[in-house]
Amino acid sequence: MTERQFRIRNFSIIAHIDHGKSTLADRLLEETHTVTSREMEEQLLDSMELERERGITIKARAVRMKYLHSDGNEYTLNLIDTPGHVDFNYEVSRSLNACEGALLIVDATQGVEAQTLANAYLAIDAGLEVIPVVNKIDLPSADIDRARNEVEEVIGIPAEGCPAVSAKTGQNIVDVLEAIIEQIPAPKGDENAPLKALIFDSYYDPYLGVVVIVRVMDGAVRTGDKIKMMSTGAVFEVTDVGYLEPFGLSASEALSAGEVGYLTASIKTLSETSVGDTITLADAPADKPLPGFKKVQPMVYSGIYPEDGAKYEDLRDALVKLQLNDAALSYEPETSTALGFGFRCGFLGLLHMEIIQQRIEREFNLDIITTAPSVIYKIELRDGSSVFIDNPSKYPPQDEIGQAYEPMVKASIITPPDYVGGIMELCQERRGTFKDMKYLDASRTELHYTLPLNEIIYDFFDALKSRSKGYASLDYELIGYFPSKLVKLDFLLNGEMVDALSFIVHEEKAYPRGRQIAQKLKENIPRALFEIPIQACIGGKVIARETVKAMRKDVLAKCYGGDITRKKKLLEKQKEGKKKMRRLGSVEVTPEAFMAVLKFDDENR
Amino acid sequence: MSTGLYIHIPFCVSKCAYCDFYSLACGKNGQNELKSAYTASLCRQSKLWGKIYGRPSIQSIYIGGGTPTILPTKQLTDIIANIKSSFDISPNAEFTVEANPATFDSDKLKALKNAGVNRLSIGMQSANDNELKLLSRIHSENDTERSFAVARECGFDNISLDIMYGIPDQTTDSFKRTLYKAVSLSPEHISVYGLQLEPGTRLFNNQSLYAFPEEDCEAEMNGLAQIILESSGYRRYEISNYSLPGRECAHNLLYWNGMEYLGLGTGACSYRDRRRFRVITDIKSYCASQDFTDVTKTDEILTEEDAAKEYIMLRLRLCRGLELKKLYSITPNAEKYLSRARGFIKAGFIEENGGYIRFTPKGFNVSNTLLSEILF
Repeated sequence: MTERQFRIRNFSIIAHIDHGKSTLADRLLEETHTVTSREMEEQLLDSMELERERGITIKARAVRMKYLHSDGNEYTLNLIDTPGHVDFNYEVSRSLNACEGALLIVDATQGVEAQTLANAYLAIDAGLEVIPVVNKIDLPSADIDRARNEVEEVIGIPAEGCPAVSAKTGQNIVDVLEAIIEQIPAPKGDENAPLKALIFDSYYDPYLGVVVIVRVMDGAVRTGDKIKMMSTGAVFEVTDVGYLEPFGLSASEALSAGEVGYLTASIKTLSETSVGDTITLADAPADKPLPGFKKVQPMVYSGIYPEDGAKYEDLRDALVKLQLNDAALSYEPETSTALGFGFRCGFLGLLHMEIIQQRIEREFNLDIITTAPSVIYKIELRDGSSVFIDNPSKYPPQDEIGQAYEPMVKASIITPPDYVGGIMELCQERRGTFKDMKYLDASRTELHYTLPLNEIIYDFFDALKSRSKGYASLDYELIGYFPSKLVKLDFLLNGEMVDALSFIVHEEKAYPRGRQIAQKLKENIPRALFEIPIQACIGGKVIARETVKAMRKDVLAKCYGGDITRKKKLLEKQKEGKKKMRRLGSVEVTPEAFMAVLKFDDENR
Repeated sequence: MSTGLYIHIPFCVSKCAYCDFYSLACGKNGQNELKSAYTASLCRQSKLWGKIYGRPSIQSIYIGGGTPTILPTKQLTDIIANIKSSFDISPNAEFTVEANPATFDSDKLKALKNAGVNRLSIGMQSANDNELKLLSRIHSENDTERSFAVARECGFDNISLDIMYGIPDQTTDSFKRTLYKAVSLSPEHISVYGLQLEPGTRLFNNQSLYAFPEEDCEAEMNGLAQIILESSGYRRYEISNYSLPGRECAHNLLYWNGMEYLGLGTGACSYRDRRRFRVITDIKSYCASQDFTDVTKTDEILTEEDAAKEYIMLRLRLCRGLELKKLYSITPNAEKYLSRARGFIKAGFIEENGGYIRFTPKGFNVSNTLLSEILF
């Protein structure tokens, strides 16, 4: 190890959503004089939105700090941010691989939570030195000893004497910095070996192209080097390398083993820089890439359509722009007879899907209609071949199917014991298989279930929250495909199939779901001049039926001299309202009705 | 060209829960100064407009409100005398005054009769006292009967009753009772209105507190009205209006035939030379106004096409329907509207014969939807 490497510490912070990760990061930046408190305040003021999105107040997902340790030496501390949600588990694991250690923030008033637990295990599995930090000790209900005990019992790492701080007031922050230097190992790695740099993040900059955030494991990279992406073999010439400062990039001569920084190389799209990929030198390549790379695969698919068909190109532009900064988002054009032209989009999970939908609506000011989210099913056909289905419209006819498989997850739920009954009932309803239950302490129980992914992508999280008064937390990971009895449920309005309403469902759930949706359609389709029969079908078989009765009364009783102008305008408005409706066959449906049909609340299941 | 004249009296004993017309609740005898000031202002406006618009020939006069009969008799007769001197009233003009039960006696009616009023429109609304209470009407079923008898005694041989369906808690049975009661009084004309929730009214603001009849039930009531009234000798001539033969309301027909009208008083609306304009609903400013230009605002100036659309919208309210020849004469786009309308013939919403196109009873019930499709 070189002297230079000896003075570097790479770490990340693991925390439950509101346990103060960003506040602690802010205090560390201040304490190391990386950012002055005045800058911090200004930054705080104008980055609220960003903060909510990223969970940290600094703009970069990694930042370099300098700290003068009590041993008299200056150390370089690289803080690497990790996304906090289960949808982004893979990104978390890659970020953790760029570090030698992690701070595990535990709320002194609440203890360990499911998400913290999952990420803590990821860190331990990645071989990181995990330092517990008990936070919020300024609160009256703080119980430092209990929090430390819990860390030892539940997570199984020593916590005696670990830093106990208040990120809010800044109390004991120095303890954290000292612990980072004393307990987290300095990065190893051979500066003279062939280059191996781990990509753990990247973003698109309109002027620089793709900015790749890397941790150099071995070797070094300099401006002018020809680099190669080991997963694709693509070669680029480095235009710039350097370090990450809170308010931007700071160029340097080289990035060497153990260091964290950025590089640019006239890379046009994010898809050429996959998180987890290894960068090496084209002329002197490493013999094998760093372990653990996988191409991120969307888990959830849904159709996105412009509410106004004429806005299709605008929607495409929005997706193109969003994908520049989000390689995990995939999309391809899709046509629906009901909704017209739109896109089939793939997401990492439901949260990711919601974020994308909201950004389309907010940042691009587009009203969209989304179809029911679907997971990817695996179907073995009778002829021996097998297909993966991400869209109900591609589902093969029942008689061609040999065996259907659906993705399953291992779910971990942590809840106060009072709600265990209701949550077990919920998991049961969602076709879950109970694995085990652990009492973490008097106030928290951890439940393990195997659940079909398609049962949790809708509203499982909401239902879980509502049955636990918001206390339960969820974490899950995919464990593979398992045989299942699936059917495709179709809906017919006025005898015509509405493709955008079809979805794949477990046989057991088909009848109740068919009935509920038929009922919901009935409630949400406005009466028209004609009666509208609604049918739910599996194959050719009708399993539920409802009727929207014909409109009986829509008349202005009075229309005298003073009313004429206003009533004429009302009629015009009525017609405009109709233009906003979607024609499903011969039936007109409001976009709101569409959304209502796609949204299930707990009680309606 | 015949013109109609509307006079608005914006005073009531109390405000009804469903009413969005401009009026002030002032009890039986309140706001006397304001009433006299308003009467004076009406007379001024009448004189001035008679002059401005060239003393037009008037085919029908309608004094509405509010509750016109709440004004002292002297004020009512002053207003009428003024109108007569300001405009050229046709000798056979229809002259209607709205009269709410329990707001007039025989002296007042006799005076009106003598002044030239030849038609009364009585706001019966319902024959069920609990429904009347819900609408916060001040009268009872008995008041209607008594007031009707007084009107007959005073020599009024052309009386209309207003009745209403769609009232909270109303049932088809209670509405039948209202229909039979109305028929038993043998008026010459009956208006059957579906209750409309107008923004700003008490019923609108508190709608969640009430159980309104379902759409299907309302449609049934509307159907009942047609059956019962037509079997009793009344003829439906408009979406909401029935009369004995020859007793159709001339004033309302004037609106539905796209004729011109002038409106005097606060909130009153006028239509002349394709301009629709109205007096603002501010009684103080109205009373203070000298030439009334400061209290008049334009609703819209109609293009030829707007006027054609209005004509279709209004004429289709009539059972007689829309004359094709007339439509071709007022718009080059007649064919467009007609082909849209004809699209509804097969389903039985519209029928066409004798050079006319019209809504069927089934079409009347959903006329908003049909009109919005035909016009826009």
